[in-house]
Amino acid sequence: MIKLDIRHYLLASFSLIYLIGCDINPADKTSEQDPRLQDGLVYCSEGNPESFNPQTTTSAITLDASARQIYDRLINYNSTTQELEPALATRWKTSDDGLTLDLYLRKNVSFHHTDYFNPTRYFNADDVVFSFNRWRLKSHPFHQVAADYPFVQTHQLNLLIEDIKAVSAHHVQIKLVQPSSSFITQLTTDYMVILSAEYGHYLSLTNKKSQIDSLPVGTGPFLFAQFIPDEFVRFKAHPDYWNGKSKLDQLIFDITPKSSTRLAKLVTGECDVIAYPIASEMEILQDKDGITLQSKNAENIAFWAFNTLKPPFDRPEVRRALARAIDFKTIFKTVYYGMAYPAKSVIPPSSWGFNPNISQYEYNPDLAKRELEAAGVKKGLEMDIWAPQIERAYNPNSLKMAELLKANLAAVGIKANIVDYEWTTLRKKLSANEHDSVLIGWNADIPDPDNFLRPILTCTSAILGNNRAAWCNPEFDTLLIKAQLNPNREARKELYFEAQSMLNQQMPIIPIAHSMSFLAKQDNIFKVNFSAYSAISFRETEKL
Amino acid sequence: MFVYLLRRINLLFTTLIVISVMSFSLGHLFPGDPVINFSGKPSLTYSEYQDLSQTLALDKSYFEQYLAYLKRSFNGDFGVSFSSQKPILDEFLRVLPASIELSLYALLVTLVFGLPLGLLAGIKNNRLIDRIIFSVATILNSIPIFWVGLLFILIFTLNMNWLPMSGRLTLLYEVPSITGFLLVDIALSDLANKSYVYTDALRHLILPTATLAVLPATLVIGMMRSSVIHVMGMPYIKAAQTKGLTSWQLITRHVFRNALLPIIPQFGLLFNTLVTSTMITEVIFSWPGIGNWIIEAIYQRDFPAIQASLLIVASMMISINVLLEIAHMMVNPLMRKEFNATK
Repeated sequence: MIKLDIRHYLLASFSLIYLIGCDINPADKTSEQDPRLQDGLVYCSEGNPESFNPQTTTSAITLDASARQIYDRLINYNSTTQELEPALATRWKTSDDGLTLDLYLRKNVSFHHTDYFNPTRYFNADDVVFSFNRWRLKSHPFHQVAADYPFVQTHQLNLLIEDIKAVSAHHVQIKLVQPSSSFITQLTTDYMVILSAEYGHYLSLTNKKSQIDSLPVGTGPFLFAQFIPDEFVRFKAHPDYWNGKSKLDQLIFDITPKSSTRLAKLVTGECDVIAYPIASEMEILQDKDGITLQSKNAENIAFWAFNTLKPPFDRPEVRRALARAIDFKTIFKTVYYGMAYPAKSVIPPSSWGFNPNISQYEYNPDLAKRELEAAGVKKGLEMDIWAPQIERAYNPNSLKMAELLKANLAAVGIKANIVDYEWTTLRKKLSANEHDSVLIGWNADIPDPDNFLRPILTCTSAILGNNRAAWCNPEFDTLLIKAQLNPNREARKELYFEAQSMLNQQMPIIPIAHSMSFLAKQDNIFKVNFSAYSAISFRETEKL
Repeated sequence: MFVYLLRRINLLFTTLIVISVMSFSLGHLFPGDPVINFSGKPSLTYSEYQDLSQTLALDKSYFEQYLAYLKRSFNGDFGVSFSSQKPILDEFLRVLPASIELSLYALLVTLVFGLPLGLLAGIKNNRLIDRIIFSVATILNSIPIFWVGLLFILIFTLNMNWLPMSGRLTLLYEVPSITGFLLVDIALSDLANKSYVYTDALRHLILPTATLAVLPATLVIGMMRSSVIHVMGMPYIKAAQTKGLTSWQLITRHVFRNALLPIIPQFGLLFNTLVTSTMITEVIFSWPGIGNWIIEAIYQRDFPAIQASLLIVASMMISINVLLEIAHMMVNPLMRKEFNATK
């Protein structure tokens, strides 16, 4: 039926070799690069963003991919000068009683023109009202589109704002229920993005509401072009950006979950910038030519939280004894490779609210053992330590840390079991308070001491399921509320000092470290904004 | 001929039914609710749940559920993926061409290098050249493929910096996906200066193709070599030699064809190796194909995706194996005789 013949085979083989040959030849002279590659930047990120709307999440991966690329805020915070800068609002004024905030908006700011939506008007006050009401009002047509709005809910901003209205097309007035010293700073966070009201109406009409977070439209320096899960996110420069078009034509987030692969791709030049190289890889990076490291301040805290609803962890003396049983020095050496500060308090030393009079509990297993006995904890107590599998900015290796804790606890007669969970499962189970203890942490969103204490330790966050210690102390909450209402910084400082002493006494969580975060990039990349209190931003980035 | 075809097709269908039963039962065996596992929609309201349960026939007996499942599968409805909430078939078809492309090139490389080397080794049996070819092939055959891949990356990417280590193309090139086959898509695109893009695509191809081709190529060398040795000992070769044929004539007219025939059915086996290796290679080189997609689905506990990919990939493999067998029968007259005689 079909005749086999060597000549057919040879013909096919030669033509193939010829084909490959003629294509490979130009590959030898790749020294001359395609000029097009010069205009784009590849950032190797750690994972898939859940959506493209920072309002609906606190996940750093999602914030990095959306907050500063696609959107703008009303006000920006400059971490170098530590001052507020105008963004979509050109100026703002707080009334004398601290209850009214007037914001005057920038004119001629255009939204993104994309394949899925063409805006017909410039940015105006309606967009601000639309964006704020989305998380503020349950009656808003888009409120139900997302499950929750974690940032505003923990800070209770939805309750703080009494009303928000558009006075004119470029003047917005926000009325507060009570004065708040940190409200303006909260407006500068990644979460306070401005969406397009016109896009919202269009989606309502076409009945595609859920698209608002997956196919975003904003005013930011880059517009969303394409997202293929587990592969990449493609952004293009917004040609009419109000603050000048970006020097990059294209921005790619190459999704590379493995840290070692990110490192290799940086070395080979496939990535221009990589996120969070882990501490053990720093040495390789430091010695490598053509690669620079950029660091950001340690505005975070890694801690070991006890479930204070479960005995024996409901008693402060047990928790204090456990704090004495931990050898922090070894943790710094083996988990952080020296790239972290010891945490004396939950608030890092760089913050003005840091109480310098507090010190970390000293490592003293004998004393810890005696204290545990005195507290009536029996020998051979078993406890679980939960640890997330993924690396976080504040904790590069939770599992290793859990192993160290386990060894420390064994020395004082406690048997620890390490339980590792995948990140989303872990968060779900933590909210249900199923744990004994957990190794977790917190990244600050704004330069305010309140941001460290309120989201992780108040009663409100315990109710919302974000307080990993499930610790609720009305006295502590009162101190924070007093500090929040007080406009005088010195007076606030006193109150925060008192709150920290109380924590040191009660020990619902054991603060472990404030870890530095790093970013590694090729030498020809400049001006990547990688700073504390903000997701990564490529607005000013240049590739030379 | 007809009976033979019937027999093969019977085998094909029986196996497919067994696989579909397995795939169907996974929906019940995976942790979680079957309605969620079959549909892929994790958060449902009560009424949505009831509706879905009815459309998926999950309120009926297992047999009826299975029939409904088969019907949905034939219509290409495998539910949506947990992680992306997009139809699984679309996702699958998106990543399929990348895998086919990679395996196809690897297959070509395998045949182009494997067959001549095997032929050479067989003809020069027990001479130095044979020993070299055969021992190198044996060594390469014994090395696990993931290690070869990493070794290639270490040498050619990290040390020499000649070739890229991941993906199909530098992501800064935006080639619209029309057919899904990259080299074709580049030709169809309206990018300026395509030679740069082609160069880039080919550079990305080299390492994965080489890694993937190593194992099948060594298998082909081994098979071809022993087959050639066998043929060379045949009386008709001696007869041809005494007739005064030159070596070239001998090889082209007698050895090559006769040596190739018995190893063609084994190409099916080769194909199986190739597909399994493709999955591993894709993960190593972050090649956005089926293997990478399935492994991600497993990591993310994306049950509908795992279930559907089991069904689709297994069906594809079996169909191709059966087709190869039929093709073999068409080129090998001896096979036809055999089955005519036993009819």
